[in-house]
Amino acid sequence: MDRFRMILLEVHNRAIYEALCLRFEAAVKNQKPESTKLIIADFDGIIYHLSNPNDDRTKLCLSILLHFYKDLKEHGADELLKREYGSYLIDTPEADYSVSLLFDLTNIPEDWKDLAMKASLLKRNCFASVFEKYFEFQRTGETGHKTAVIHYRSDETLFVRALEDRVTVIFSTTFKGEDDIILGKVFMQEFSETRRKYQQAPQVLFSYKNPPAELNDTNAIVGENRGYVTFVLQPRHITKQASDNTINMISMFRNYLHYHLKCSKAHMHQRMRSKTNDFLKVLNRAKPESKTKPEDRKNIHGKIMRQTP
Amino acid sequence: MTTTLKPYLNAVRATLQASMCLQHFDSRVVERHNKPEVEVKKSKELLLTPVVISRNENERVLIEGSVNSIRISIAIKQADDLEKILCHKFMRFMMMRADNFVILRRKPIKDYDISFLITNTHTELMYRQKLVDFIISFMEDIDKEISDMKLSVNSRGRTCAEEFFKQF
Amino acid sequence: MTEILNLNINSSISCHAWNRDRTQIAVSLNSKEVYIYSKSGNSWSLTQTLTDHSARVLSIDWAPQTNRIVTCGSDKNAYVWSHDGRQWKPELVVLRINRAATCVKWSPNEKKFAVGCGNRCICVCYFEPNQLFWVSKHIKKQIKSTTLCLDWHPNNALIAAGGTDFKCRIFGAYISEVDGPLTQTSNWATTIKASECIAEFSASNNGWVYSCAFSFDGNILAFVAHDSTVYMVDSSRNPQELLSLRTPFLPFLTMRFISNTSFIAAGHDCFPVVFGLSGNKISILEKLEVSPTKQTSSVATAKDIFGNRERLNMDQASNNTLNSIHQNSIKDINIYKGDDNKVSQISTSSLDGNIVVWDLNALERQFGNLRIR
Repeated sequence: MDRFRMILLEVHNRAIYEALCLRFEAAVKNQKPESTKLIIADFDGIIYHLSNPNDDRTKLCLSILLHFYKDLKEHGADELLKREYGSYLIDTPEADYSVSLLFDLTNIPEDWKDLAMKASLLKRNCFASVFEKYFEFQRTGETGHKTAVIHYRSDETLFVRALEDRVTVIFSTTFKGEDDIILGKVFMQEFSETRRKYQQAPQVLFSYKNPPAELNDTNAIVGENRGYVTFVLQPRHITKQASDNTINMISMFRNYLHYHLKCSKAHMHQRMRSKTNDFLKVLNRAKPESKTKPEDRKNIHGKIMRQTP
Repeated sequence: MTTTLKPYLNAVRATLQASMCLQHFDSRVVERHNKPEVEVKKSKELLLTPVVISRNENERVLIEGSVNSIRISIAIKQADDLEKILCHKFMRFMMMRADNFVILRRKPIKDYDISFLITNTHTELMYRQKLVDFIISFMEDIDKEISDMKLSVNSRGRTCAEEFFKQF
Repeated sequence: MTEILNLNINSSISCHAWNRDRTQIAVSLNSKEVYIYSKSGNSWSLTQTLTDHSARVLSIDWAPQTNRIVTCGSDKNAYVWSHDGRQWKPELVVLRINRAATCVKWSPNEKKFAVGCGNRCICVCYFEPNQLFWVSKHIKKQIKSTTLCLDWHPNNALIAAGGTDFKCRIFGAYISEVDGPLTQTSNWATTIKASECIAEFSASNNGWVYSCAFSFDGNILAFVAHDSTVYMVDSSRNPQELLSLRTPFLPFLTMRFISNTSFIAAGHDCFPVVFGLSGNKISILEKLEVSPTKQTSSVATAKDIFGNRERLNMDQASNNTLNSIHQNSIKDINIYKGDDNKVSQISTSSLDGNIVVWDLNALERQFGNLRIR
């Protein structure tokens, strides 16, 4: 799987993970703690802040800011975070931030690596609450709840809906240029075709410009550059064992798609540049062999080069 | 499909060889000026009849000649949306570097994708035969390049999808 | 048989002219300067650069007897240069035109010269002794576009001119103050009025007329045009009948008569072709396709290989070259050696920067079939 590391995006925030590991390790070895102030950005406009609260170097405070946290709170984000982080979660988050965790560097547990990993999954865990709630609805057969609407980006929305036999997750995404729309369509076409080979994966539907019928009761936007991707999650995807993996993959989907769209464009740009250079070389063949007299050729220092016969 | 390619390129090559016979010619309209007559189009007697060589509806070459300059416009095959945007991007990329290319025109003629403008200064500095070779090899390579890029986009999409679905 | 002159010129040559004994040559390199080279022994050296023109020099002619050079160019000017023993000094010519002067030719008696220009006229210039510069008379009749080529009839009174209006015309260019009373008549016209258009011939497929010439006895007018056709009119048989031959070559840019019935033409095809007239048929006598001498070393140096791969994306050691001495279009042909009715050597200059002297006698022997005379 190493070969494909660059294809799937990592779910955790590597920068936070490494920063925490560094500090935890130093604390475990009883080295003097250094002062910390890091601001790290993540996808979807999320910002992490790692610092020493009140200048106390023995304590580390990790805060996260999500602009749409109130949407998540509606669906029980707080409870899930409490469950996951236990005593590390502070009741009142740091000023301007949505959630804060506090680590005491004098009291680091033995499995600090796992702790660091868990902390770097903070963003994912915030999202997870919505999914877990709706998965539970489907498992217990409760229908009739309204669709969850999370405005995770300024012009893009996430919809989650529980039905009798499935849970549907709908991403509404924006394509910035006309080229992106067409590339997006090509990618989504490949997704639908490839899914046929992997019957165990959730079904994917793609709709362009207009939202799918399921969203008729929401005020979902219609637009030229808008695409809707629907995942249909079957019961087997949302069992207790499978749900973590499902949440990981689905929550990263939008960034995954756009990341690869951008990679394609960069790759094409590179190809075009190299092909243009090739053309220039072929055009150079049309020019006669350089006719400068030997006395005229200067090297980089301005000295005249003379070819010894 | 390839059976029509050779005669098409041969016809273009023969026409180019005949029309690339360019001469220095000072403008008749403005004193002391020397302009490519095919762009100015003021003196009708200096222009040759434009020729269109078409392989099919979508692939055509327009060759407009004059006494001191020749304009070659190429319409490239674009079968679907993806090929359209790939072609469009590629042509725009090259046209932005028109200065380096010397014989490339910054904007294509209407209804065509890319245009070259070759004047008598170019034929004086460069070998005529090689210029014709360049245009022909350009036409061959463009089609190939666009289909390669399309393939790479499709295969990337497929790999992404596979990796994604494998996780379930 | 063919000799490339070693002038060390690295850019395109647009025109050249020889002095009487072929020890000096004036060339224009598609720029506003005229370079005079002199021959000493077997090598050429640059003796003077004439810089009075302010735009590209389009045509040069050297009068053999009086040793004067006339040049004209895109700056609407022409100059006559005389050698005062040490260098060439210019004399202004008042052309009164407002477009480029494209071609210039001395008359056979070297008292006048004609300048073709883009102004829809031809200027016939002569030296005005009272005012000490050259004045011009304009011929305007019937010319509709730029004149590209000129040639004088041996009787000093007629000019043939061709241009981008697809026609070649014969005009009267007789100036009584300079020429004196008209003594020689010709088959073209019984009376010659100055500035009148005596005859007009069309290049039938609408080709621009690039070059025209009278034969040595003045009886035949020939011209070549952009439609790859050569035209001839034989006034001793029928001065109104235009004969033509469509050639399979690329258009010719320049031509000269080498005998009374045959001429040599060269152009975009980079090799000269000899045409001859017999009766009322023009025929191709020979194509002078002489291969260039092979490169002396066939072993490519490593520098060449990598240089080519880097610059040209090619793995061969050398570029493919044309199978002729000149690698680019031939712009100018001049008579190098020969007397009035039989030319034995010609010189060609081309856009690849080379001037080549062709020995027609030797080529005649080599090409067997060549029936120049």
